Amino acid sequence: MTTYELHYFNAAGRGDMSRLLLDFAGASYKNVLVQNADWGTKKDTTPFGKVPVLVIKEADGSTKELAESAAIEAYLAEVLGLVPGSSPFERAEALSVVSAFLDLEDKLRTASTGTTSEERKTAHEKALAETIPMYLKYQERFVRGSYYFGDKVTYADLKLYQIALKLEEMYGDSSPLKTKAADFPKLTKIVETLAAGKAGDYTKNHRIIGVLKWFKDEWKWGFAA
Amino acid sequence: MPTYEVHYFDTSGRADLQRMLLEVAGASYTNVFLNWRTTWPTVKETTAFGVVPKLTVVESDGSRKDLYETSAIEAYLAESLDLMPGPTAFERAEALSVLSALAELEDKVRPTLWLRTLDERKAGHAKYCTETVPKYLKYQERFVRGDWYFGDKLTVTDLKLYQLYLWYEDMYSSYDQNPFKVLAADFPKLNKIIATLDKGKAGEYARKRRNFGKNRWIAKDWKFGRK
Repeated sequence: MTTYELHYFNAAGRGDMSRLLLDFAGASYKNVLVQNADWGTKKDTTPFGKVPVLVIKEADGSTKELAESAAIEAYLAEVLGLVPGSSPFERAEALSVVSAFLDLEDKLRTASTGTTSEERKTAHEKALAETIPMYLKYQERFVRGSYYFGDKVTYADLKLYQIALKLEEMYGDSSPLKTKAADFPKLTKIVETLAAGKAGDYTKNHRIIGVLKWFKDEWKWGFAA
Repeated sequence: MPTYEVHYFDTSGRADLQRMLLEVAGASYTNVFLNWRTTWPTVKETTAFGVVPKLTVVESDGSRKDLYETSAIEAYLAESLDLMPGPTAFERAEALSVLSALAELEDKVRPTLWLRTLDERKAGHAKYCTETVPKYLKYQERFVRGDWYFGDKLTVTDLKLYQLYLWYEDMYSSYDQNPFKVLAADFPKLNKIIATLDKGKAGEYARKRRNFGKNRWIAKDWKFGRK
């Protein structure tokens, strides 16, 4: 049986989605948490100076490693049976849904780059009123069944779930998935179904929040003491 | 054999690598140019996520399917055009990891493009070229496993590197500041890949079918502008 190690900081951040995929699929995995103090030495041992890194240990004892969250997630989705089908086009379509969400996450990161909390607050309020609903509108339209790609859960659905968790953490009851739930019935149903099952179990029992927290009065992420 | 349509604006931008992949593979493709003011607003609402590029795959039976998002389009074309290191999920994911790291480097300069004053832009680009680029390229140089990124076979990762080099040429050639050239001694393997591609089909694409004449770098202003 293949076992996995997910190397990342003690935070959700860019490790959360990979952990969710591994956990949801019932894969044998462990988290190797990188402490900030150790990062200096570890950095240059990674392919591109970043984490997450996925270490794959095959049954024959061989290991290989994979860097970059987008690549790790695409890989895990494929090997764990979380893609719509085996053809290149089907896998690429799932990747396109995830990529659109990554774009939204980048926009939210940019909203926190202002130097004062006033600037950041304005940027996030605009995101809440305009940007996030705009992205979600296209996502709602895309959904092709009970799940994004019909009857089968794929990593597109799990990405939506991870986004819902992030929006909840950042905005609480102001998350557009809550305030505008009536505009996004299909997305809401996917999130609720996943929350009631193994994805919800992950969130309650295995999800790592660690030291990176949303400081709501500052409108940015930061390290909790 | 399918044919392809690349739907995007009349600039290299986020369609550059896709066009390059199609050219290098000798695939049959056409550019469908969108006009920001006239056709784009209507097309936007027909797209899956409100953005282009869009790749339309036209099969030999005439059926059409659309794919969006550059990373998905590039992964799909790399696989379909035999520009991946190998057929397994891991080999394809390794190629995606290189693309992802290079795309991250590419994205790091984007905020500088929009800084309001000339002095801010000049300083931002200088910092990008002297500090950010070498930090990322050092890992890329180390990764290269042969004449190409993945040994003996040309893959999408080599072409992504060349696409990044071309964008730096667009922005920095007037000042002789392309970091690949300035830092050539530090990145011999990467530069060898670029030089080889420049001499072949990718270079021919770059010189003849990449620039549509409208969007170009205005050297004195350190920004892109339209003719």
